[in-house]
Amino acid sequence: MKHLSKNTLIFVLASAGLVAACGGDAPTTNAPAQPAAAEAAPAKPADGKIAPVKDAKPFGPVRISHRIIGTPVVGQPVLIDLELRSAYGSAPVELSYRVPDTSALTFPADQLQRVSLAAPPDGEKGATMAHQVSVVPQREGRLYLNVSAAVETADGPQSTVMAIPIQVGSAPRELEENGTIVEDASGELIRTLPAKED
Amino acid sequence: MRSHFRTAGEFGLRTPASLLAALLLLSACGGGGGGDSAPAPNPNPAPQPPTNNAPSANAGTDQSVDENTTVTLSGSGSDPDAGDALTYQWTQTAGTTVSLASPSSATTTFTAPLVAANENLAFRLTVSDGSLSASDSVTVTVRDVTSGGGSGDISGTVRYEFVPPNNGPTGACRGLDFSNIEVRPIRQATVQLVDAGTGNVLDSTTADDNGAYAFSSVADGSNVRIRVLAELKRSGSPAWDVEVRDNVVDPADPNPPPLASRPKYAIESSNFTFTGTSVTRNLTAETGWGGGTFNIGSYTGPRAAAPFAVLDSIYSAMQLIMSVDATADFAPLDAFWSVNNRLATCTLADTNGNGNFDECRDAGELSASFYSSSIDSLFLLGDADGDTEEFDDHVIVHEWGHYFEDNFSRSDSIGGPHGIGDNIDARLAFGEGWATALSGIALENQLYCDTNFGGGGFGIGTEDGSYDARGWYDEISVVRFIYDLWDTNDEGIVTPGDPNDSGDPGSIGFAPIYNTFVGPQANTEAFTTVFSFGTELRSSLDATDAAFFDYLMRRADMNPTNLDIWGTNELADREDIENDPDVLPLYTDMPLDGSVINICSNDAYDGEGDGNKLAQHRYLRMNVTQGARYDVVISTTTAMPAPDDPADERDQSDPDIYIFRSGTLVALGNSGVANEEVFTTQNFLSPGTHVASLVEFRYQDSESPANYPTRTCFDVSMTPQ
Repeated sequence: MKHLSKNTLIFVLASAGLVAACGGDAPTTNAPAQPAAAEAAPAKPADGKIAPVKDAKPFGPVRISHRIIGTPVVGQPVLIDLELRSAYGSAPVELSYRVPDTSALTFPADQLQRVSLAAPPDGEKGATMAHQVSVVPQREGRLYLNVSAAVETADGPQSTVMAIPIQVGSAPRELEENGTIVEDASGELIRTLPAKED
Repeated sequence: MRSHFRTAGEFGLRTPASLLAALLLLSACGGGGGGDSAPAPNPNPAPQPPTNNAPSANAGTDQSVDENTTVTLSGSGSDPDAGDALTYQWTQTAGTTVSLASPSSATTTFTAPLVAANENLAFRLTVSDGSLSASDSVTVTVRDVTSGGGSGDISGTVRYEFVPPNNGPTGACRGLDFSNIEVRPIRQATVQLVDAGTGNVLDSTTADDNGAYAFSSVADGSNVRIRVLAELKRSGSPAWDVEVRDNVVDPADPNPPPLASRPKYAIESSNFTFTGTSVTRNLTAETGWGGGTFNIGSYTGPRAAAPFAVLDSIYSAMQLIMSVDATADFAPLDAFWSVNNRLATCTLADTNGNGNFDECRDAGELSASFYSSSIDSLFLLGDADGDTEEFDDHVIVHEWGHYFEDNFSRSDSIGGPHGIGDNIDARLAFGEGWATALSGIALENQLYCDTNFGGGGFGIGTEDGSYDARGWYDEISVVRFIYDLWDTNDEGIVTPGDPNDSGDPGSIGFAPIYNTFVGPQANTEAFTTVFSFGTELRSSLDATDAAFFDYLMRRADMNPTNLDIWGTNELADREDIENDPDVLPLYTDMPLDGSVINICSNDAYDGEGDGNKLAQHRYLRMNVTQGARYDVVISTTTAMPAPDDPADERDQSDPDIYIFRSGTLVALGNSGVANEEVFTTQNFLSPGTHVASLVEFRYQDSESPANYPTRTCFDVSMTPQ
């Protein structure tokens, strides 16, 4: 399963092009006339880098990829294929699922919320494991299922958590509030939070 | 408010449309209507009215009053025309604005404002008979009577709650330990004294390293509150400008503010009336945790501590830099944190033609916490039910380490996803390894913890741990090498049986590391890797430290013998690479006379289509002696299947090349033409050493076929025009 989106590459290309257009020293993209057969060719990073999200923190011991099957509908179970790749090939992976907003998603009665996946037979580092999970949307909106994948190591259990966005219908996401936004006398937006005083 | 972003477009300030419209209106109106022709004489003059005489005005005598007292302005008017009815109008022309009780009467009153020092207020009385008018002015001096008597000081300490990782007997980095919350000072943050009525900032100061602040000469009776901004501001030398903001926007907002103007975090006290001569107000930003231990419970209140924890981790890293460079000038940095920032694979649609990066950022769906070099910003997770970073101080400093490398030195890292156990591109391995090592150094804690909900998380020991150090393509090797160069702790033997491991008996300190980054590493001819960094650092050390350097490099499974910036003498039998012909030499010399070399890009180390793993990008080294444009010809020599779809060549090879001189991209060929790349360098290549990265793009193409070959080879030639 591939992660790098075509869209992110387009963004890099556009950004680098902007620098060049503003007098930077980046050369223009070498883009000879594209033959008709190449119309589906993807855009390229203009600077050889991978994505605008360039310098990211290290992933944990397990990489989690997912694919939502079909179009999510309120009240109908949504199947999600998970693919997991562990840095500890010989250790089983403990999967657990959590729904931050239980008014938005529920688990079907037969869906286990904790699952143990056996290590691949060859125990090879980087080998992948697969699992499928099901949730039931209770309303429209952008809903989230959190997936945790843990492995037991010599340093104790180590885990990674990832949120899977599930778009149900066209309703937008709901924001969790933290504090209150005010505009100060200079026009600056301030998100004010209360303080304990003594 | 500021805008320091390097790119324009969507990051620019909002267009002041109303101002533009007003200017256009003024222009269209001819700038005031001053015509250039005299009015025509009236052919039928009306009878002349009786002569009207102007009134006179008297605003009274100047006076001095005490602040916060009632002042009477006694004016009068007279008119020679006995039948004229007079009207009065008082207006204030100078000083702190006051509210006049009866501005349309001959006599009016107001309350003298509280002033920090004696202040003159000026008023004008206009008397009118309906046709003609006269004016007179009066000055009221308001005496500052409270300073030293009716005023005083407000002082206190500002702090935040910090939650350490849970390092219990069952393992390290197992969530956050809410049973051991630490209260820490908010260091160097801006503290404001705010007028509770108007919201105006009456005074501003900076908390010291103990979180202490003070305001003096606060007027007795003032109704105020204390605000602490999540920002660090300092001009001069050293200088810095750090702000913590919320990147996520309301999806219902059709015109959200530009990123640089998103809400900045602050804590505020309640409003209070200052009385007396000295008041203490201590403020603490709390976690919002509702109780329970590390894996039971939840946040039930505002998470006020979070932005200040982010800020303080950044300040810790800055302090490390200032310990070796007291005049450091830190480029402006924004740290974006939100309770709505989740670690997620974002699939939102692109709405502005720039890819969906903006949409994902605004929605808080981040592929990780990361540093964006194009806008000098950190983006940090805040998902309480998943992964949140505010108390993962090593993660924050790790990302700040990328900021440091980008702004104080140079980073050629290609970025992208990376994790423990990955065999990655040497440029990426160095950048990531450095950032993690820095987190251990700046926080003086060798355990990098990345915690998550429910008692989960993982740790990286920057000097020891269960992860193997395997070589220059492994970020863990770079982490341990750099951290152990700095630290004074001898952790003993980490790898029993390893003849290269006899503990960690020395330290070179941080200064040589810093000096290498800001000096030769910033200008190296090679790509920025552990070899360029290590070579330059080693050359600055005395014999004793150089020997220690060599020892630690071997201990981290890298070869210091005859070390050079190219990694020429690196060993081929390291763990995982075992004499892979596509791994070494790290740089292949590229002839510039039209001769052809054959070189291969290898996907064997990439299980996810990341495109940033070992041997996918092959490095070429060119010794340019003839300044010229060069014809570059790359032809795929690996047999490709016949295209199965004429409209989609993604089952065919797509070689690309990027050519650099000391980190600056000077030429590239990255067309989508199948099985070749043929172009002329866009710029003259000037005499000197250049390097290039040759890559098979299909290894980072999300839609390449699953059965695409894992090894693709190319004939490459370069010929001067």
